[in-house]
Amino acid sequence: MTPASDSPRRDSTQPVSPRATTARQITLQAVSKKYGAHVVLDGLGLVLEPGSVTALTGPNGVGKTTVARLLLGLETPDAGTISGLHGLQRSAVFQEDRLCAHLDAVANVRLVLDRERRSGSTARAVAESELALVGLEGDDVSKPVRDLSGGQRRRVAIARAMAARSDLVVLDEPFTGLDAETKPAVMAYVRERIAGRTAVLITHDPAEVEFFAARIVRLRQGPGLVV
Amino acid sequence: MTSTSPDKTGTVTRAVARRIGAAVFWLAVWQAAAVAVHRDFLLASPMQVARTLLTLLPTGNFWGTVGWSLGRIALGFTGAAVLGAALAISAAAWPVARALWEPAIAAIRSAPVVSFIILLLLWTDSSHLPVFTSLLMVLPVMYANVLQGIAQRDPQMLEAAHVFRMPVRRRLVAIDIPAALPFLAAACRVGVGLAWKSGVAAEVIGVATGSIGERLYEAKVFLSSTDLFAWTIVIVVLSVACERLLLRALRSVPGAPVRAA
Repeated sequence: MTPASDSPRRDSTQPVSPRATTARQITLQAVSKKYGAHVVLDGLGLVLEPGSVTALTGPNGVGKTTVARLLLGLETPDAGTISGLHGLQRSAVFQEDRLCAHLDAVANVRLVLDRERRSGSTARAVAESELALVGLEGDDVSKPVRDLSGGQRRRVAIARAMAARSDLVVLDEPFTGLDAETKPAVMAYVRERIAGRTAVLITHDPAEVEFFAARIVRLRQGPGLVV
Repeated sequence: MTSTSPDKTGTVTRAVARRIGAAVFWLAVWQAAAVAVHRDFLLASPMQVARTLLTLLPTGNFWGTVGWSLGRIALGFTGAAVLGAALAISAAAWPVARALWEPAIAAIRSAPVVSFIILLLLWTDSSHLPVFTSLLMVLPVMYANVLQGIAQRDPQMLEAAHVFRMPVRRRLVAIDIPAALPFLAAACRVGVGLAWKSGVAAEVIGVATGSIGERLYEAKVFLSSTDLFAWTIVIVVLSVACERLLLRALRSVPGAPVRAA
């Protein structure tokens, strides 16, 4: 979907939250998913209110990432329904960085900008300001991301997700690999940028849940978890 | 500013020395064989071939002949690259297209080149022979490699492109082309040589007027192994030069590996 043309004009280089205009409630109803014989989700019910932050927690293998993939439209449920996703604009910080290794940080962020902010100088300014907010400036933003450190690449992936116009942001262990000095500032940046957007945060860290004041959903093995 | 360590310089020097040594060795073998045979029309010596090449090089006729063959073989190669890529992209996108193309590509790959040359001679003028022959010989290589390149795209990156609704043009530049480039480079390596071999073979069989193939045909008619070797060296040099130029061009594409595959 293209951005609404009747939205108020603003300086598009400013790093304001690029919310789309399709916010709505997302409902997972009796959703099941299995891979081969392995049942990952069994009758999950979950409601995500517009603009809310929901933290998915639980031990490894209970299906947190599967829920993320369902919300991102990368999987379809074997049973049950998911409503509220049609036409929804989404962005994500994946468990992996998923960056174009040969492109620099600016180019990686520019790739996901919507049509309104895609033109040459505007796109560059938007990308640079977004990257500056995660502490990446100067040479770091203009060399191929394969030459950056793991923590720097993570920050590029976060900046990219925040720069993309979206109503739903899925954050799958987004702060893994960030050093203790950088992490608080990046978390504050993310909290500011997801304000007003529906967000799902997958994490094992209670401090992150607390920081985002997120509603906690603890997934567990077994059928019929309804939240 | 870049600096080269003495170790690296030494390694490069040794590698160059080894190559020169190998070339000198084989030239010596050739010279010894020519002396042993002692019949120019059967096996010319390296010196005779070098003299013939030096005589040919300054003539307009030589460059005209080279241009004639180069133009047609390059056209055939380019056609194969474009058509092969188009067929591979459509095959990757639609299983029906793949089912349609695969038998034809398999038939082209397996059929002897002379069958095509004779068939083309029936259909068209001999001046078009090298274009269509090299096109048909390179097409399966291009098709297979581009298809493999498409299959090797990083699925995680494709998922990211889907989530972020990346426009096709951007995805092509950022994900698709970089993934296909190593395979395209491999196809070029094989394809350029194949285009020259099959194109010149077609010129010889069709006795295409003004072509390198015609010069080779004349060498056979006049029992001149000197001309045969001289023109063969010209073909090898042209083929290697085309391959190097293509690989250099591919390396300059954004997303290309630092070193071509």
